[in-house]
Amino acid sequence: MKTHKLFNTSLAAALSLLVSLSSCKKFVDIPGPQTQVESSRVFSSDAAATSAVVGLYNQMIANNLTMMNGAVTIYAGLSADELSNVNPNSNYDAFMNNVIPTNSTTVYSSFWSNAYRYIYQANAVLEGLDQSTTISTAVKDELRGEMLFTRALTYFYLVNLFGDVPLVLSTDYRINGSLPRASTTTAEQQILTDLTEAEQLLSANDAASGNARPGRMAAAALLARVYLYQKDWVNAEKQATAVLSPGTYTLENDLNQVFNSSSSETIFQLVKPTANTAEGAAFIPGSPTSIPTFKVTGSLLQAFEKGDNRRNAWLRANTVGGTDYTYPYKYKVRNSTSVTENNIVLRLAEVYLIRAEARAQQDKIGDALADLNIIRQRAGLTPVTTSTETATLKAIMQERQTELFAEWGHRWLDLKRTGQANEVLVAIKGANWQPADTLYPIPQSQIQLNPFLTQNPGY
Amino acid sequence: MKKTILLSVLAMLWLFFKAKAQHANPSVLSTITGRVTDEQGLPLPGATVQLLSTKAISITGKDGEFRISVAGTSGTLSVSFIGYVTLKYPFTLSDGTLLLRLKPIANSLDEVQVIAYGKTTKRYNTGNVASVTAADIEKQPVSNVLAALEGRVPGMVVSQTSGVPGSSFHVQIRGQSALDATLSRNDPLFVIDGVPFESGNTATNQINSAANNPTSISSGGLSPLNAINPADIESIEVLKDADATAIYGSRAANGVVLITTKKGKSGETKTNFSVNSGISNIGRSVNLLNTQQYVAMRKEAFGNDGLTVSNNPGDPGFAPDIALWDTNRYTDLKKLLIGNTAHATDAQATVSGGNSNTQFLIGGGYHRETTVYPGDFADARASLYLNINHTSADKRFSLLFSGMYASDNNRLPRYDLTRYLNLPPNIKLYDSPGKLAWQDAGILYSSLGNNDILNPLSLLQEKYKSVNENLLGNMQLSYKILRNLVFRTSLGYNTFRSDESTTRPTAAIDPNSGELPSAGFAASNNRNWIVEPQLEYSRVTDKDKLSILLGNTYQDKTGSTSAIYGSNYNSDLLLNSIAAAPVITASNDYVQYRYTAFFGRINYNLHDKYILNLSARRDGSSRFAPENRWANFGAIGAAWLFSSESFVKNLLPFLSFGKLRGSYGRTGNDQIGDYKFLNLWSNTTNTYDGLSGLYPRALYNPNYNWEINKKLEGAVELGFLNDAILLTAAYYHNRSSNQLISYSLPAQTGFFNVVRNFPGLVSNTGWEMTLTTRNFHQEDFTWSTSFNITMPKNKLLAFPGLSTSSYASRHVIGQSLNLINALKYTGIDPQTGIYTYEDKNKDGQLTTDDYQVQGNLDPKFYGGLQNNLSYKQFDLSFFFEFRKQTGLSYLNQLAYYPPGWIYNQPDLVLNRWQQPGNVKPVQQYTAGYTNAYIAMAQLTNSNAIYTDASFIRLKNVALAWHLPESWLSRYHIRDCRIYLQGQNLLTITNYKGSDPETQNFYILPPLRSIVGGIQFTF
Repeated sequence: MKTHKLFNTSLAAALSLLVSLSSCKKFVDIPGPQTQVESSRVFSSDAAATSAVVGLYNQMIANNLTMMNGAVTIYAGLSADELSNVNPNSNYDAFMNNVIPTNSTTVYSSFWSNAYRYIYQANAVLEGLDQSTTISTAVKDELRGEMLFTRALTYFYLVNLFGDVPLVLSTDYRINGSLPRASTTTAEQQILTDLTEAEQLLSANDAASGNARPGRMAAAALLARVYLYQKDWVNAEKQATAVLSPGTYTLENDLNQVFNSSSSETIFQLVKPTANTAEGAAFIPGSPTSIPTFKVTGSLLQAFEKGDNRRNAWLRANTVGGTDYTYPYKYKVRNSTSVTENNIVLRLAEVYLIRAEARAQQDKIGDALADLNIIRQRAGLTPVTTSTETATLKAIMQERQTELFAEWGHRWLDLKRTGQANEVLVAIKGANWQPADTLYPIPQSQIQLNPFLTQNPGY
Repeated sequence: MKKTILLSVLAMLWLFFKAKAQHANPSVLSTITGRVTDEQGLPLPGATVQLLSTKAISITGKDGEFRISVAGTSGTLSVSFIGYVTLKYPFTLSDGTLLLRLKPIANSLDEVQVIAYGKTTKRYNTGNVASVTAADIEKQPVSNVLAALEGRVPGMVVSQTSGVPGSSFHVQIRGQSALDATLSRNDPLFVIDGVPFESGNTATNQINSAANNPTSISSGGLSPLNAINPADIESIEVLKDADATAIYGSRAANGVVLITTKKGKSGETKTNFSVNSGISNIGRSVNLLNTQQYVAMRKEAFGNDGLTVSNNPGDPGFAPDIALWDTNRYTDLKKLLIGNTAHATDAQATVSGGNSNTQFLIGGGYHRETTVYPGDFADARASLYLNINHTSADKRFSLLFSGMYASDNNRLPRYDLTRYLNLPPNIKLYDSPGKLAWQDAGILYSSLGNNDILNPLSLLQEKYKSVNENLLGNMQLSYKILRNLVFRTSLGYNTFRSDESTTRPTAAIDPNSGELPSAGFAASNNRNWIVEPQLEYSRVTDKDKLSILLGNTYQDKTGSTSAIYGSNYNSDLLLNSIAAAPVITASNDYVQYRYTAFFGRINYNLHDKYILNLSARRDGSSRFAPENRWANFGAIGAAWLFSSESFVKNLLPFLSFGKLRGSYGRTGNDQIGDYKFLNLWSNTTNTYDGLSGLYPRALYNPNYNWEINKKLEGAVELGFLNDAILLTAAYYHNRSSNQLISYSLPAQTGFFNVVRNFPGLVSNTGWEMTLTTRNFHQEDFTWSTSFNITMPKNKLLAFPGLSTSSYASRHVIGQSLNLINALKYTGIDPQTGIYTYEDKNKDGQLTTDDYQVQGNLDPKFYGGLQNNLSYKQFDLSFFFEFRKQTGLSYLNQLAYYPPGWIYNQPDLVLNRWQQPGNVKPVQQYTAGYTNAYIAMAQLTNSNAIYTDASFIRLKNVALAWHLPESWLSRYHIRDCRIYLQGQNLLTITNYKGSDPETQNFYILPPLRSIVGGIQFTF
């Protein structure tokens, strides 16, 4: 009897084991993560998809001195003839002396890897929008336009800084990981296609969004710039006019207000709720008696004409030990908990100068001067009255140097696109300057990770 | 008839008594009494006490007491007991009651070894298991149990990442199988008392502290195993081969470390109390230049570059440190920042006892050690441990409970100060007493260097605190259903909490930077429970033993983390209150992991000669997409104790033990983090234009599946001269395929890596040998030695598509994963004084095409040598660890801080090239971006930064003196021991630079410690 009872017990135990085995499968089915959202849910509603888009802008401005947040201003400024760093610093010196090592952390993390991260997110949103069936068409078009614009903007800087770069248009890492460098022509073609489509999709009513997100005008302004760089003068003028004629934006008369967050001149700016600009923090020294990290070069100071108000409004000097250190003062806040300045990406003054140059190239001297002199007048200068195309273009280049200095690397890009880089920089940088320095090196670590990449000449 | 019988009986009785009287006659008959006990003072009933002169024997009673009649006033007793060394004890009558202590003979073959779900002995084990026991751990004054394993386990490499208290250790068993050791972990599974310790060997901190030095291997961090009190551990078993590990299935690919805590024993209630205190200093380090040497170096550097030293900012020769600052000022930064003597205190107390049914052990411990940094920093751990065993009177039901709790409070500076030893030696530290200097002669420190010239004393103001709490409990209930069938279930629970806070007050901030004070708070909690019902059938006959085990595992782990950072505080007063921060950024995360399995094992032992062990497991894990969730693992192990064969006994009589064993099996790995197969977006930290933002955090891959690790092992174990000499030689051959790794990708994919299976094959093979000898074991003097050595070899066997993958320049098929594939360094050109490298393809450029394979970083061999001696009341043991390896040389640090720049240097740089014709190991000084600088920067792409980093380290010395029993018995003390222990006392190496283990003189090297203490047993 006893053995029988024990046998039953053991049978029960064995059976319970078998039972538990069968319920195994359900045990490991766990719910999805609580602090992250699965992609299909992100692109199921208008609000969530919009979050995915503004999330990209957030990433672009999250850290100081990354590609979209000050790095181009500083480093391209050092590479050109407008900035120099005051004290020896291995990082800045490399750019100022144009001897950038191929393992430069700045080139790799501030420029290259950041840029491709933004491109990935833009592609991810584009794919998500494409596959979604529940987002309203209006919102879908708007968001698509924004992401095409952002992707084009990122590629614009990549191409202008590095030359040929891999053209990544999807999120599939299996393909992207072995993409070789695409020619600049292909990349520029893609930029134009993206911007043109963006211009059509984006709504005209972008003033209402407070220009913290790109609208149709932003696409037009960037298109104008890209056409100008490609020497397509007709289209450059056309796009510039598309921005200028509606009068949505106007130049600020007070130079001190131009870089304010509420400036009427701003076409597109990246905003950060908790901080002012990276440029402000980098340029403005801690106290009136300390030496700033960067100073503007003598050649830039000399470029200003007598009576140019920008010399006083947008530059400031600290005198330390008998020496004057002049630093850029466009943004006037170093750091403060109240946010009054944002990272301005596109502003109206540049569009005037683009149209002026495009018109001058088409021999429409009079019209070119009209645009040029608006900028000069704002700066407190007398209008110029050149008559030849060459002289006019020279005046426009000069104006670009003094209007757009220490801003998004305009000087560096201008010198390169007009073929003046060698001539101008040899005089200033001396033996350090090599013609191949117009392009930054492809990060060495990336060539090791992707054997299909090649290095730029001279590195 | 009756009368005859009566007469003869009476006569015999009379003769008997007469005989007895005759024995006593020559002198007075005395009785000698005494007690026989073991080393701890516990009585040994049933021992044999023999008076040598008469051969009279007395067997000890319940309390170990005996009495023997003695003729004469003195004599010699011989005391023996099975398993103990026979004691010859001369005595005189005036000694009074004798107290005789016996020392046990240790035959390690019969020591119990804990294995997966059970126990066995070394003699009958079919798998490869190495044990480190409490005896070895107790001798070492360490706070982290991994430190106690270094060099003692064949096949396991343990390396300290830095000398900061609480910092983590790098652990690897039988080589690396992952492609990139810094991205994927090759950690073994840690199991404590049957509960998987999920925190494992992963750093507990979310906020960086001095324990995180970005230049150390695996960049350091705080070790979760620091929350385990080494004094609570009975033994650590490291399971290595398939036979031992396959039953853990999916988590055993990299080996298993089983930690078993102490258990109560039946007998008298015993109290044990131990306290020790000691000091530590940094071990091997480099000396830096003094101000004169530094100034001379800077001047020479500018001279080499053709520049004149100037005090004018903007000049190419601008050198404020020598042209403007006081060049007579000198601070020995090494002495100031890391030259403090650290103090350590440790106290342990345990009470244990029980009877045949119930036993218990309860213990508490406290350990505190300060740092070598100046200032009030310390790591303090308080721990509590409880074990209760109960068996019912009918021996059917048994309960085993063990629980441990520890709280580890670690206060450290935020940064490893060793990192800043290279500040200029004449840097001004104080403007006025009590006020830190941030500029000198108008030059701000922050404008120099690369964000690394600062006032080092400010770093001491930035505080970091981490409180790690570990609670672990395991209950094992078993019920004997039938004579041969036991139902057992084990229930385990573990929660590991980590709370961190860090503050950056005004005193730590450069007043010229405009930065405002900030603070950070982080918390994380890893909780897991595990239930394992098992059924075991065992049948023992006089011919064979069979045991069959079947079981299920259910495990649930949840981990939650949160971090809050506050910045822009307007005063230091309320830094610890997050509500006082004007700007707050916060993040949190929650993960869940579930795991279930069905496992079984059959063990068959025939005649104690032929043993066969089969194990299998079917696993399911939530870390894989539903289609890939399940996998099967298993192993077969066999052993043949050929020394028990009669023909062997006849042929080789000196062979007391001989075993041949082998195993083959399949294990797996799922150590990749959770939810990786889903395409996930997370929140951005800030809103954008009033809207919340999302961004993708990682690439995703839904198709990855289980990693497979096939292990093969063959070994021979021999014992000679009655097991006085034990020799083991094992050969292992592991192949890893389909590994789960964070596969490195170029940044153009948007991210740096993706979780996927590695399409290649990596083999780890090697020899492990151990030799244990009992050199002497006599009553007064014993000496035993234990030696282990491992010779590993790692090879990448196959990698389809290597040349077009992201690993093309980092790996070569047929070479080790840790290979050195770099430019060939060809010395310093005696004419130019600059480093040169071989341009293999003669194209005039130095690129990855010129890389050549030049050896690897795997250790060639490593191991340890332990010697235990005891003479009368003294015990001495010392342990040497040795390793032959190639490692990073001091040139690796010079490449980032070229000699001649505004950084101080180790005095190794004095041996530099100065003029054409010099042949020196250090190139010419340079102060800028010259060809010399470019050549210097290329060092890291060449093999010049690798050198021989082999070492022999006297890792541990322990000396103890047992007080004589005569002193103790008066106070009812069973045992009292005074001891002196030292750790990392001596390093013998040719390595120039800092420590050959950490290989970087900007990381705090392992500390040298000496402690002294006293231990009582009541």
